[in-house]
Amino acid sequence: MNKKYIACLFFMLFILFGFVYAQTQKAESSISTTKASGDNMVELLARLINGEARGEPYIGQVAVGAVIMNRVKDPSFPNTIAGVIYQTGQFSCVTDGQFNVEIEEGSTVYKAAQDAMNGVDPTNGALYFYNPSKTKSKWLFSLKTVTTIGKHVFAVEE
Amino acid sequence: MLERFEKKIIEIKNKIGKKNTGIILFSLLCIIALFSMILLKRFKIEKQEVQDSYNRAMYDFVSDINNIENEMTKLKITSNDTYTMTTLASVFAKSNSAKANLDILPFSAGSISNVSKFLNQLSDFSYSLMRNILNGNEISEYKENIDSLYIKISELSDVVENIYTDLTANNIKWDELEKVGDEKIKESTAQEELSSVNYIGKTFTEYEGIIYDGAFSNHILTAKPEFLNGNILSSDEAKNLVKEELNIESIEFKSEQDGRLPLYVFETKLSGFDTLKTLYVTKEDGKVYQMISDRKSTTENISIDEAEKKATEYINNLGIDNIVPTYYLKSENMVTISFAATQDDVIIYSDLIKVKVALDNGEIMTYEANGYIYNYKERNINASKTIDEAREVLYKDLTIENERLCIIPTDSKDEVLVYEFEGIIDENRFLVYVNANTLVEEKIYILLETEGGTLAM
Repeated sequence: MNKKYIACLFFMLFILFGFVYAQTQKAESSISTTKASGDNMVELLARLINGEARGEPYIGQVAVGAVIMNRVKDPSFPNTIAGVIYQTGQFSCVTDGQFNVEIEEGSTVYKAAQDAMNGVDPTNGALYFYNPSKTKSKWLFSLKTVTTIGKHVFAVEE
Repeated sequence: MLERFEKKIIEIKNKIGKKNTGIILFSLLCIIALFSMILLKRFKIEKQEVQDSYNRAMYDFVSDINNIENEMTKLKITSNDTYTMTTLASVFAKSNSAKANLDILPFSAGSISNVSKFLNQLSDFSYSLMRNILNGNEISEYKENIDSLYIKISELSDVVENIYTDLTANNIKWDELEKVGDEKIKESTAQEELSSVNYIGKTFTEYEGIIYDGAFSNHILTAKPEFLNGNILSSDEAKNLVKEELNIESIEFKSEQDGRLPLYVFETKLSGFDTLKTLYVTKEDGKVYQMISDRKSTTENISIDEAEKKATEYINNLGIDNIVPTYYLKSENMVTISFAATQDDVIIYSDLIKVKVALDNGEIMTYEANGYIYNYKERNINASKTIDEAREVLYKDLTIENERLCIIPTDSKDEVLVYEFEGIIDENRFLVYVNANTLVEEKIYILLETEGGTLAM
């Protein structure tokens, strides 16, 4: 009885040890080797769109890109694309690693990023977007909705 | 399965003896314990590294704010333009650095959005003030804005005084700070025991912002479109107007949008093309504001010139005739062409329309007329200096290939009449813009030829 107990304990500890070790090895980052000119960082914006709106219709992807560009132009937010993307806790895909997932061949996210950087804005100046079925923030729900595209709601402060 | 495991242990025990089994099991336990301690230590070190980078950023933020306050105090008494310029340059540099440091810290976006706005406007304002003084303006003309910025920086300086005390006493717990979200700051009216760093956000809860000539001025984001006339149409009227202008196979009203610009949203198919497009039409005057669609374009069947013709035809159909193509960029078998408005042969770069054409069949995929709709108006174009006079002020070794009169947008979202000179020196191609009234060099662009087209940087 004693030995069975100890064996069980070891087994669980082994599993735990393996799991914890695996967690520490997880974070990887992929680096783009294309030269960026000034703040013309299409690849960076495309990566964010990929992380947040991979399965969304094309307009939804441009819309996510447009929110980033609107924030860059707004004095209340960081004024570079990287600054906006990496701002603490703003985009779930950055916090949970989806941001580093490789972009699939044939993905439309680069075109969507280009369009957003050219000024195409399906969100009419929105500074916020969220997925209502995944968000718990009361504050986000209190914002004025401008439009809904796919699973995202795009909003501005009143 | 556990029984098999147990049996295995008993077998081993029987083979090598009870004592040995005990020793082995005990060593395994020690190894696991040791490994856990190593992991924990590593975790603590990494956490400390993150905390250190926060502390570093916070100390530098404190230093930046104190420096800015000093410099702005000196601005009140300088009598010499040179010293004023270097002082403003210092304010510019420190406010950028303060903003960068603030961005590193784990504050929620909502709690520092007004501080960001303040620092952005402070930096932008210093930059534009330097330019204005160089152009001959007196600093006393800007007294009101300088005073209101000074009040805020003094308040912030008092706040960072307390933060500095907390930092050096090791009182700031960054962990707890990360849990404080927008909700808590905005709702807390009671005198809660907030950490000194939270007062950064609190100091600016009522920050209105300033109006000045710069990209981040209050008036920029709320600008009204110049091209529109005030005639509000119903969605049906707008739909009928569009049907008259474009070759539409089908069009369906989807929704209204009330963000920056009141718009009607339609879904439409153009004759001869299968792709469903989303069309955005202004409520005022029923102008097409943008059109978005996408599909895979597999080959380049038509030339850039042909694409330009198709795009021009599309724009002309919308009632806009006075445009010329300027630059294009190709990518994924589509080309985005920028068009600028013209008036009396003067190119107006502020009034831009961008059209994306698929190079396999000439289909218009995307249309974007933001620049044109917000900026287009009839202008009084009067150049007091001739193009020859402008050419005189250029860099002597620049070989000029093209020159013309045009209007360009400035950094402060205003516009200026300039002579555009395209020239080469060594192997670098430049665009130099000389003010057509003051002969001041307004802007220089580097032109970079790439496979996909020309980039102006």
